[in-house]
Amino acid sequence: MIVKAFTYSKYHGKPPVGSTRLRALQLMKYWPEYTEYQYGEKSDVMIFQKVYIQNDWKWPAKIEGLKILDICDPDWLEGQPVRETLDAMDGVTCPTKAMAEFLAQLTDKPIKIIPDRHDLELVAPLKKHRGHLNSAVWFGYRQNADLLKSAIPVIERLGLELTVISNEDPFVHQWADPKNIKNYHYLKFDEETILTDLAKYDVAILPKGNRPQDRFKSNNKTTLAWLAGLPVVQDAEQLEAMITPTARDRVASVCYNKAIKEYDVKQSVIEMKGFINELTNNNIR
Amino acid sequence: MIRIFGVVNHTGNQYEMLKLAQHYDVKFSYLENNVRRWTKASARPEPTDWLNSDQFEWVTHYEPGKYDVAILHTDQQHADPAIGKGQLYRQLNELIQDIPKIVINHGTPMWDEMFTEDIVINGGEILDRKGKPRQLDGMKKILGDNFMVTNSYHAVDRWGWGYPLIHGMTGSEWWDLPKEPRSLVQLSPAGLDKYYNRQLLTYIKSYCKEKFGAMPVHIPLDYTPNDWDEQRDILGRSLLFISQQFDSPMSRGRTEAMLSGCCILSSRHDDAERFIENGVNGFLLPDNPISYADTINQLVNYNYKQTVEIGQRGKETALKYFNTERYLKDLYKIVSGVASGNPPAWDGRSTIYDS
Repeated sequence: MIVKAFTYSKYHGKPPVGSTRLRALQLMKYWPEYTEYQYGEKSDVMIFQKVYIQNDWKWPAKIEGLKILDICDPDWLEGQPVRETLDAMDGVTCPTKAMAEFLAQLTDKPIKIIPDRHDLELVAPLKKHRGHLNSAVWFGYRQNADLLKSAIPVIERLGLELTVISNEDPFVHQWADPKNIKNYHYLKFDEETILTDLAKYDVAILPKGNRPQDRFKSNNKTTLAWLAGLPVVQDAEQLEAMITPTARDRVASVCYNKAIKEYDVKQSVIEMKGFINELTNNNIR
Repeated sequence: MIRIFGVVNHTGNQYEMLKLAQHYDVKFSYLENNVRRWTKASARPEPTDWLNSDQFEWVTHYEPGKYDVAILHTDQQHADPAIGKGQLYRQLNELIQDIPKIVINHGTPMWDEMFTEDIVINGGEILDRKGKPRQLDGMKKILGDNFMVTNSYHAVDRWGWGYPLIHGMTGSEWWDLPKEPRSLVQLSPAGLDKYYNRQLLTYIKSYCKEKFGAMPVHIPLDYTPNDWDEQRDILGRSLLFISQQFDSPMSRGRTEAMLSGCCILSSRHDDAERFIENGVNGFLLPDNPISYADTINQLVNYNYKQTVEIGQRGKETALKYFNTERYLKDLYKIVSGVASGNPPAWDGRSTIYDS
């Protein structure tokens, strides 16, 4: 069976973005029959990764074979014709329960939750934390860095150094006391080194978002930080509980093991194959 | 019947190409794709509106054994795989292995913003954005054994190989209307800078304002036609058309303007001197904004009637050289030759111009 992914990155002619890596390319590494769609090809199954029908591009509705929409962002908020795309599909995959519940309002097609997972071959053994809490890291796309604003007071109070790993510098120090500006650092995000980059810090601060789109977001940043051996905190109270290396080691160990057990991308391959089988059987019936 | 597999590129170019199916025994099957689309909002009518199903169809994928020849498209930017628009050519070129391929190369090797012409043609080692060396395949390797067609004789010389196919249009489709005393330029804000000589255009605008009193109307910046009719209307009503590009092998906009009876002010580059006789059927100007501004001022303010006459002679030239019948005949020679394994060879002589 030939399974292809028409990815967001391909559609936009860009190098692979996070969602394309997480939702498609990682799976292909462990699934030889699953490859990225190349123009002109025909497939038995086409997975549209954040790719939608457009007014002037109805191709997804016309192709033969099984069709699945993999949606990991609330792109209807950006005006994408999600409903029309769903109508043309045989099934839907998404990473979160909130997303699945929302989509169920729009379609009666089968919906499968497949969490964002990671390639464990790239994960190092659990790191050992040393010394009192000194450094923190936040990572993600620049447009999401506003979430850090609420964390600045406690970072300042604890005298931490904060490094932001992002596609572009969001200039987080703009919210800080000018005399502490030297405590704020920026590192360019690099997919190849992100795990080792994260492991250099004591804790990951990933404040919970309260924007309308945040309720649909997956926990992929949290689980990635876990795999780098970091405890992840969302607020001041949780951060203050990570002062000692013993506390960090304890939390990091639990989270690291949970991520190893539950967030192996090979599991996503199994789940996606199962979903395709389910849809195929539905179609035959 | 020759069965041709293809993809959309520039709809202006394709509109003329697809007319082949109305005059010869060929059928086009075009791959629907997201990179290049042909819609109701496109600059030319959708093929299914004017061709029947024996002449044209949209297809969802390529099927080996179903076609006789493929027509693909490139330009110099296809040399860099990091540029998204090259995906379509690269992937189809890899996928299609059972039939010969014609590749229409719409550019010249000039891409000064990125690479030397030698790199574009022959490839070599370059530094990526992180300063790491990477190997770039030149167009020679990317095109391989495919039959490369260029849009001008000049472009064949520049690339070092290829077969020229000079464009053609249907004269009656262009509207020669009473001329307003204005100059017009058509240039998308997208695309290469030096290639289209945008700097010269900026200065022409500035000097025109100073010497003539008005800047040229720049489509689509100053006026965006909603459809082909509106484009033909403003073109047909403009006295002068500026074609200042530095290295575009054969400007379609210039020919459209000539067929619309506009008087052409063209740069001397590429093949322009082969069909424009200075002061007779248009003007060939140096890459100097003052020359453009002075000429525009003289023609519009003091020589309107003579300029209209020059525009009419330009139209006759375009009808003579750039007509559909000649273009389709040349295109069919290429398509039938490549499809049958006997691609035409170019002896280096002009196939259309008088000298």
